[in-house]
Amino acid sequence: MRAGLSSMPSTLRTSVGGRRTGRPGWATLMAGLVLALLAGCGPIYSYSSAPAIAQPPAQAPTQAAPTRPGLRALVASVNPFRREAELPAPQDILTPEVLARATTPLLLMQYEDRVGWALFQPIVQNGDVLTWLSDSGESLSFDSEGMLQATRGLGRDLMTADTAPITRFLGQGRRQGTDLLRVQEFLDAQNTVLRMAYICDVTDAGVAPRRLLNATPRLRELRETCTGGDGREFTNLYWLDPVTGLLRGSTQWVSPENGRVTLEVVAQ
Amino acid sequence: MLGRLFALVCATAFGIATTASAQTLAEREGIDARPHLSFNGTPGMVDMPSAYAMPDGDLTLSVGHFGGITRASLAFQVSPRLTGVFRWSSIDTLFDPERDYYDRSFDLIYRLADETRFRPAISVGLRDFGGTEFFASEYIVASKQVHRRVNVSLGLGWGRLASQNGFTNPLGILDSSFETRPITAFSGTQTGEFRLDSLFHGDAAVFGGVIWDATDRLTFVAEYSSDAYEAETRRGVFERKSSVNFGASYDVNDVVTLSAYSLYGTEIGAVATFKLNPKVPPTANGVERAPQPVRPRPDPQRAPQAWSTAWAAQPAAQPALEQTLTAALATEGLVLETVEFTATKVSVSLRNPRFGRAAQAVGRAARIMTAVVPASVETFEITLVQQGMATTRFSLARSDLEELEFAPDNAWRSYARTEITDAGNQPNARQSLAAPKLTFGLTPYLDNSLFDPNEPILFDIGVRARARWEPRPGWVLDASLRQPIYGNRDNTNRPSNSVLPFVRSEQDDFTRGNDPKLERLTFAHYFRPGTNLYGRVTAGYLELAYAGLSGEVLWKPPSSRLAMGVELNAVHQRAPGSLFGLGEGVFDNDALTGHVSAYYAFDGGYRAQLDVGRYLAEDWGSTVTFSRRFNNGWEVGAFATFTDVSSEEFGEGSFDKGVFVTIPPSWFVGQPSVSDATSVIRPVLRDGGARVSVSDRLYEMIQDDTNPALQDSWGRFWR
Repeated sequence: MRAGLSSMPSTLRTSVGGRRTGRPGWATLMAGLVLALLAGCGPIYSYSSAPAIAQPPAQAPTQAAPTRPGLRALVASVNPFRREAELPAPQDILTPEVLARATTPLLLMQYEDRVGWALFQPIVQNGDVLTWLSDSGESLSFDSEGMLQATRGLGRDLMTADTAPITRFLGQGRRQGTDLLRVQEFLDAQNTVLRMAYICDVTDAGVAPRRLLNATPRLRELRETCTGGDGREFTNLYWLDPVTGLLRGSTQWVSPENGRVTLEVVAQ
Repeated sequence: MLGRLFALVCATAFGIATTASAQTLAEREGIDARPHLSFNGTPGMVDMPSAYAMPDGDLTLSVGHFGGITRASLAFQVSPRLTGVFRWSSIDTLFDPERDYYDRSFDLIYRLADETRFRPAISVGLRDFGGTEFFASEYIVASKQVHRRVNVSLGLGWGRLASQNGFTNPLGILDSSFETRPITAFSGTQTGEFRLDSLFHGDAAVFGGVIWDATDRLTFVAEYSSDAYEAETRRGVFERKSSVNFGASYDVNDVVTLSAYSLYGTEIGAVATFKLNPKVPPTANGVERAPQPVRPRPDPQRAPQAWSTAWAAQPAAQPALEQTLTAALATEGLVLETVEFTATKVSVSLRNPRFGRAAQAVGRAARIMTAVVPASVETFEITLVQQGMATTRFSLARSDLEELEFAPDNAWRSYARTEITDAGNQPNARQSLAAPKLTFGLTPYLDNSLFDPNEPILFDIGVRARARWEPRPGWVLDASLRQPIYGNRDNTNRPSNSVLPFVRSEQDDFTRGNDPKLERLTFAHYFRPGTNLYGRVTAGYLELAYAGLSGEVLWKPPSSRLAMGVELNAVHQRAPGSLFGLGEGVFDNDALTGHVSAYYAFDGGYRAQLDVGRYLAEDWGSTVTFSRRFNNGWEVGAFATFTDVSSEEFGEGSFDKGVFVTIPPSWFVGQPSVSDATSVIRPVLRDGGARVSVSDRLYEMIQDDTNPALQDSWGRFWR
């Protein structure tokens, strides 16, 4: 946040150094406010003595692997003081040649409503749920059928999702269904858990060419249309291999503020 | 002066405005439509009030000017029905041709009835009670929506709001004493008293108006005003030719509303209103790095060797655990104090310098432990440490963490399964493993005092050097020195006319000038005298104006809404402008002060505090504080102190009172933080009911580590 000064909107920045006749205190006050802002964010200089025990080199409990840039810009997009970075499209960077060199599975997440994408790699499996982590610190967790269970670090995250009915439904290889219950939990700004229940219908939209990152294979699209007691509606899309029935990609709703994300495992 | 006030307000609002999301409030948090605010910063038309209330929790600042009158109002929707207002007003050359008149006042508005299909909303309001009473008035008003976009208001006013076309008080039916209002001899320099006998007394008058929401952003208003502005028109501040006011408001965005009005047939006025709601942060929260996920243990059938308990007997186990836990917790910004273990239980105590909500620190620490602690350990004990004192202990089952990580309703279920107990009745750790003994740093600062009687904003900015040395846990040497670089503190110099010892009325002398100021140089000891008890002894330069000795004991069980405390201070005033000198002359004041305090946390974040005891001018009395604490660190409150100093002895203001707002930076940036900034606004700082300001008072330190704060924010456990 110390870099905040240089990344503030130009109008504000101009005011900090600008001079206005007849308002002698203006520029100073602005500077003071900015300083106060900085004071809350970081010191000019600080020192801490060494701990009493010898620390081994900080070994993060999770092994973050090198992934492509992109997520910082994504985080920056929720930071209003930063200008949205020019972000290359994922297909320009994640070419088949690049992905062929990947040593771990990679998951691509793209926002639907705003610019931003990120690469994740799997870190921990807990029961049925596999958690993926990006190098900039976001995490996504999926159950065995690829249903999004939780997100962290995106901001206004999906805290938990109870997708047992739809997970069971897909696990049985079914394609049409009604009245499947889905419960998603969020945290509001006062740290209160908001629990939203949705009733979902699944329909089969048939097999057709579907646009994935580097290919356009023929895939079956299942549409899960959900309606909530709060009046909110959203549709999740799942693209299944018509032969094996395996999930190749999906578009899933995260939370009111994050909207939908498109998900695809781009390297196995 | 005015320009500067506007500048500050605009700058602040600009910062807020730029961070406001494009999404509307209603979409984001289901907050009701905001009512139109009047010139007084309260719901209303132009100068007259309506019966509508702001959305719960709304905090608004309105700055308006017309005809030589400037008003800045800070309004807070305390509860869905109750509104509290602090207002600063300036009237050009009202009593003195050389000087503007400044006035500070409080309003309270209560909505008696909600609007239904057939019944109007009804509110009752008290304006300027307990202040100078220059604006003293009461009203009852009803508002009804008559069309989807039009509402009308009709009200009955008393006091100032009955000065135009007043008639005999209808309340005279109840008691003829209502028909005359006790006259307050108002000179413009003296004070009003907190008197109830004038409320709703004297003549009454009718006012009313119409609000038309022409579009979602544009609103037109018109009204009939019952305020004659007698004092202002008599002294030529402005001319009042008409009782009809009208104007328009435009909502620039969720935060800023700009209004222009025609007032009293002769004047054009403008108001800028800035609104925020602590429940609706401008940025998404939770953008900090994701937590380390729970690392489940291997199946004991398939990997029995991983479950071996032999590790606990090895001599290397202790240093190995210390090192790995220290490093792993450091990745989350948590500081390990101690580790103890058996083959099935690991107990850690840690400091949390990062997360404003303790539940998040506990949740992250617990998940880290799943990654580094051997599989045979089933019980995790996490103890939070504040200033070397172990506060609250959380006992968690590791299998619960594994089971609940993605389970529906995991916040409540994990809270229900966590055993939360007091960690007290134990001495502080003899040594901290990772807590730094010495820290120091240099930060910029802005120190301000708002709405001083002479100057609306007094401030200085500069750099602050702080150092902290904790040779043993709970023994802390703390120093803070600030060097002002620029400020306008010299703009006020009111020689105190107090008849009491100048214990606070010359406080300006301590902040004036560009010489370095020793804000604090103390040696303190924090300890746990017993179960549910916390203790503190602090000696040295306690604050800018006082040095001495301060001691405190607090009783706060982890699950109790009630806390009790005792504080004793023996202090001597310091010498202004001197780093270490003690006060002489008018500053040669020493005092033995002390209070018995009761704190109670109500549902919904409301907090009450009662302090009874002796104050700096050796006066006896009590302080009542009432606040609303939002679960994200925001706190808005008010306090009043009544002592055996009479209102004549006290002077301007009659008694000590004020409002305060605590703002957490984490709310703006979305990142967790334990820091916050509190601004206290007092109408006037005098000598009665004054107290020493000691840093690190125990209740503020402990409250977030105990209930109800823990339970209310347990959703953060899994974040």
